[in-house]
Amino acid sequence: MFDFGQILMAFDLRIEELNEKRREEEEPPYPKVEILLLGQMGLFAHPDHLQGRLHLVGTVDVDAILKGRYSLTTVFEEVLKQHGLRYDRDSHLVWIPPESTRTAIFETSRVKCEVLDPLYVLTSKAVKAKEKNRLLIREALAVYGRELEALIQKHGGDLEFFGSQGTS
Amino acid sequence: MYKDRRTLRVLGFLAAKGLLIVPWVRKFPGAKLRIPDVLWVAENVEPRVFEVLPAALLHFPATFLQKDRLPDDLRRVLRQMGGPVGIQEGARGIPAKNFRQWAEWVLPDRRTKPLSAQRILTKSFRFPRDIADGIRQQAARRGLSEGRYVEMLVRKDVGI
Repeated sequence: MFDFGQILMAFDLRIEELNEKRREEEEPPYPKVEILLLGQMGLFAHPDHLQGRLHLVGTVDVDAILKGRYSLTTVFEEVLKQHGLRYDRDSHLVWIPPESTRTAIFETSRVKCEVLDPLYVLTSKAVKAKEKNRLLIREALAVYGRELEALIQKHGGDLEFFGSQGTS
Repeated sequence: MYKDRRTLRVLGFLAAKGLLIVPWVRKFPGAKLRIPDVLWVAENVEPRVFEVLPAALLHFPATFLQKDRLPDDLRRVLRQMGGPVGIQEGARGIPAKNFRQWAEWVLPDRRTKPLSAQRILTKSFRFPRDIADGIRQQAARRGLSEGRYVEMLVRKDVGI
């Protein structure tokens, strides 16, 4: 099993250390940073435990959108590197279906992390990166069925590419 | 396909070396992999194998057998990796920058080095004393190390 929680704990601890230094220098602590995990790492980290239902494979790239001080993005990048992962600074280019929902997986006074729900991660992959994810989406269609088919179709995806007839 | 022996070996190796995350396979750091099997897995199971294969070939050449079966486009990426200007073109729909980033990525296996670190080789030369003095003085005048100064001269002469 892949556990992203320990990475978030390490990031939170690092921010706490930085805030301690800022307090000593009479500066305010960093405002809370918000993370939205996307892509394959989002599938790994989601509490639905898709690792048991889908054969997930990912590179060590982490797609995530951070809202907070820019310097904390660099800290996040360093923490990821310490855990053998790489922050993809092009994460803002990932297409997120407008009706997406998300699930919180970690929260402290310093960090809040949510994960895009799997249906929408898979829709994004099916619509925008179908060749790279052909087998994953075929497997996911068997798990999510018509709900996923409808979303892919709605956003102009090619269901036939995944061997599906569609919902029409 | 997911239970195919080729899939388990190829993905097990790449997961063991920190190039892929594959929670459902047993890591297989000591695998020997035939290139045709690696290509089969990349084409039929997991295209991300194409993306990390050049980096894997660079860092773990002894792992891979039948390297003559590597297709032309991936062979070109590997060749450009070792060249003076680096990877310029992508392959299989994968941008050049993706291949570059995995070649530069620091892997958990500490015996490997990022590509840019590998390009630095140690050389020893004997020079007459006046030449050695000249190198030292000219390097100092330019604020360079002696090695960097000699590199500058060679690049100028060779045109790179």
